[in-house]
Amino acid sequence: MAMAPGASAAEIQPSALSGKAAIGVVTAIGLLLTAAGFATAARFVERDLRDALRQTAFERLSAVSNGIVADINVLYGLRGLYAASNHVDRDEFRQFVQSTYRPPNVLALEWIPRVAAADRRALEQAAKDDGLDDFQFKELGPSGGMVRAGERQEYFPVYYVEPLAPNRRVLGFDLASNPARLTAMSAARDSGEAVASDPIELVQLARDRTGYLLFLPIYRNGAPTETLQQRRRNLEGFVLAVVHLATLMRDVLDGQDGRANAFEFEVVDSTLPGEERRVFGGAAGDEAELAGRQRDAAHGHPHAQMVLRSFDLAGRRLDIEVFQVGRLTGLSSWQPWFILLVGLCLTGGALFCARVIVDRSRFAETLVAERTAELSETARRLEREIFERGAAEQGMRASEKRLRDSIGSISDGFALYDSDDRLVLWNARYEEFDYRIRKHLVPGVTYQELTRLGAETGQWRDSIVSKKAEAFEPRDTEPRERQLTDGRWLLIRSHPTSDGGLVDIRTDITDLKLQNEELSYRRKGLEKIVAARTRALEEQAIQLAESLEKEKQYNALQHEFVSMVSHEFRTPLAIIDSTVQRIERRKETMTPDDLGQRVGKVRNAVKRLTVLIDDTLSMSRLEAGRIEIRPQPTDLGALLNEVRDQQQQMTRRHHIHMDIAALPETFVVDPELMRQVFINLLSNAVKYSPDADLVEVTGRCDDDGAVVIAVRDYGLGIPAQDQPRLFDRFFRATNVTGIAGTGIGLNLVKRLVELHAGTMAFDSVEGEGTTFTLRLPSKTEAELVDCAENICAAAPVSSDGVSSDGVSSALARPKPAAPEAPAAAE
Amino acid sequence: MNANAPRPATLLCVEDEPDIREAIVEELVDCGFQVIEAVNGSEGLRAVLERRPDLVVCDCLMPVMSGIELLQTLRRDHPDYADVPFIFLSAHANEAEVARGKQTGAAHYLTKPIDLDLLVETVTRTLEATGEAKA
Repeated sequence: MAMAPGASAAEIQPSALSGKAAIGVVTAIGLLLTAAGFATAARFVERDLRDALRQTAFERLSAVSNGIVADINVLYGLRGLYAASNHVDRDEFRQFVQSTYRPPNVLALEWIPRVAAADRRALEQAAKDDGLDDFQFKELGPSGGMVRAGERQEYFPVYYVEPLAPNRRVLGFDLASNPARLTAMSAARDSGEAVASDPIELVQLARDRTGYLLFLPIYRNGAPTETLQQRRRNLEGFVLAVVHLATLMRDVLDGQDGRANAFEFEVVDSTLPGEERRVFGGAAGDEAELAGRQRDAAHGHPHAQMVLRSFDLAGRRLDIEVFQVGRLTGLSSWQPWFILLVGLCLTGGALFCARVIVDRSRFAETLVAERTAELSETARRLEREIFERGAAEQGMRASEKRLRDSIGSISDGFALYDSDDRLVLWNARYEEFDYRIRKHLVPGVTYQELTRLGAETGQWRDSIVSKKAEAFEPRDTEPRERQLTDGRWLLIRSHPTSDGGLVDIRTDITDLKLQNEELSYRRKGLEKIVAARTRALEEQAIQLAESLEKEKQYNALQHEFVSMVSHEFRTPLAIIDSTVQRIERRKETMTPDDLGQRVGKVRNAVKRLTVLIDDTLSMSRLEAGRIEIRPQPTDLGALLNEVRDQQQQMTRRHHIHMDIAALPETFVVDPELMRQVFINLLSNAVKYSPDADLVEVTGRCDDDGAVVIAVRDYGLGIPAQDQPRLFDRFFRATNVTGIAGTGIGLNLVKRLVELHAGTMAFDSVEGEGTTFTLRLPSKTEAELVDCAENICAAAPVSSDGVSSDGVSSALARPKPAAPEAPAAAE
Repeated sequence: MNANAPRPATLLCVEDEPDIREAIVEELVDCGFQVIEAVNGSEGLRAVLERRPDLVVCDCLMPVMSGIELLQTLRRDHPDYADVPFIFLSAHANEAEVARGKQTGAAHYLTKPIDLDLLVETVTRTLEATGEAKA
């Protein structure tokens, strides 16, 4: 007894542990996934932001590139002005500059003439005459102000400058007086192209003075400039653009509003020595700081370099580096936070579900354990009570009461029988299960009696059990399941007791039963579905295989057809060609008879070609539903004889025997189409009887006016397995290997005959020969036209063309007998 | 062309189309060859075995027995005749057919319509090549 609770606790313990572990795992997975989702979303947002920023930097740098190109272009525009006239005066220069687009970063456009010492006075005077009263050649004095230029061999003064007002200070400034400017001018003069000076402090400005001077040399019009000497000798002066770096770069920083994801830039002039390279930038700094930034860039620090682009400014290389300022973070966007929130909610939900599941299973386990413990405890107690009954007679009543109480409290039906199978005691539940025989439940009644009564009152649903009451052997200790008439299921277990009695325990297992039934019902349903699906799939597979096979066969047929058509056309061509070649060789010595015979061969070959072309054309017209029938009264006998003669010319081995006297004098058909039918039938008869020498044609007229014509040969015959497909387009019998043919002839014949409302049939034995029989009903012209139209309308273009209803219906008929009395006459 | 040869070469022409066969035979006879004729593969096989021609000019597609079957049968059943060269003529101009003809062991494969000059030249060359091989 003491063991029972311990045992159940031991059973519960591990499941409680695993429940806790499951909840822990669910929580951990949920939090991990949430964290991963959050981090991924943040990283994606951050990457998008960085891409957008980099894109912006690229666009801004493109604007810089455009600015530089515009700067150079304006200089070449000025060179064009100088090339167009011998002398450009101050007004012309001004008008030209004012009418030209001047990029915003170009502070001034200037004309710097080359002035020999001797001409200095004259030019100074000329400028004064232009209204510039204080004009003189100047240079920078030691104090930083402008003073009158000293004496030199050559001067390069700023002579014209536009716009004048803001640049008045530089007017007359002799650029040759300044080494940086002189170096750039010499380089421009020698190269003949635009050259940028070193970065200089622009004299026009008070602050942000860094800029470049772009010099473009102007040579005397018409003077040669091929060699260095020529260029030095013929230099007339320079046009000059003053480029202000801060304005050029303004576009890069334009729109910056101090946001965290803004950027700053640095302009490095790589043509300069190290310490002077940084010519412009968003922040002040020295080499050490620059190096620090590059280090930062390598480590993805907030000052990360994003874009580095190099520009060519008239021979100088400007590297513009754009740095990202501040840290880009995806946390400023709502997406990661949303994912975090959803993730936490889902984790919470999963946690809740897990708890519910764990609790349920723990509850169920506890219940089972409790019930087991309860039962085993009761059984043990009973045993002990019974055992002690004899020894402790006085305590019996108390015992019995205790026993009754305890068995009354258990939830299963319980009954105790003594060693004679008589009922001793039972509980209310037992009574409830045996409700139909409740009144018979009295102490002393035997188990067999109760069973018999139960069967009589229909206690059990199972009819076999009801009828064979004796089937209930009380000593049967195997657990058994029985269903009550009210539908409940009982598990009946009988345990022998130590004094030879019997404990009968009945448990209501209806719920369990129902669950099992539902399970097996579902499984059966599933099996049914699976079986149905499997069947459908198998059917599909078979259909697919069949259509694939058909497709393959048809493709093979078509391939064979193309090959045979080519062969069929080439053979008569070969006859014509070789015969003509022979005539060519013998033309001198040939007799008229010989020539006539050879021309006959050529003409026969041409006829063969014509028939072939006619067949092919008719076939394609039939396919397109466009064939026209032109019926007229026709002498079928004459037509047949004509075709016979023609075919006879082509064969020497065969004799074509005609028995057609019984044909009517005239019969309404389309003579041209019917000629095609006859040609095909006769030429087939000859072609497919290479070892025979007789072909027979018979014709007669039926009582109803229909005409029956049969063509019989004694050739190869048609193998039985090929007969059903004989009229299919492109189909050729399997025993005609080696005989040329396209496989369209018989299909055409059949369809042409059907166009005349007629029918085609054949009778053949392989190795003995074949008889084709056609039967044409008597019709008027109008009826025939109607019939043909119906056929064309009813049988539109069939893309596969392998088989049509007409073909199968013709073949479904009983096989025609001899040609003289064909069964085709319906 | 056969002026140097001590005896005229014997050729077999197997062709089912009588008009083509006559033109070929006439041309070959005009060129000084001795020519025997057959109208299908099985007659051709009999003629090869009876007469052992120096060369066979043979159509491919013929009733009863095709040219390709003729050559296959000869190569398989009569190894003694392995050195008889074949020139195939065929109205099948596609490459697969030509390949098949060559695979069977034909010396040449000419397509119809036939250029008789080319035929004679091919025959002569093939005979020379066979003669050299024998010598």
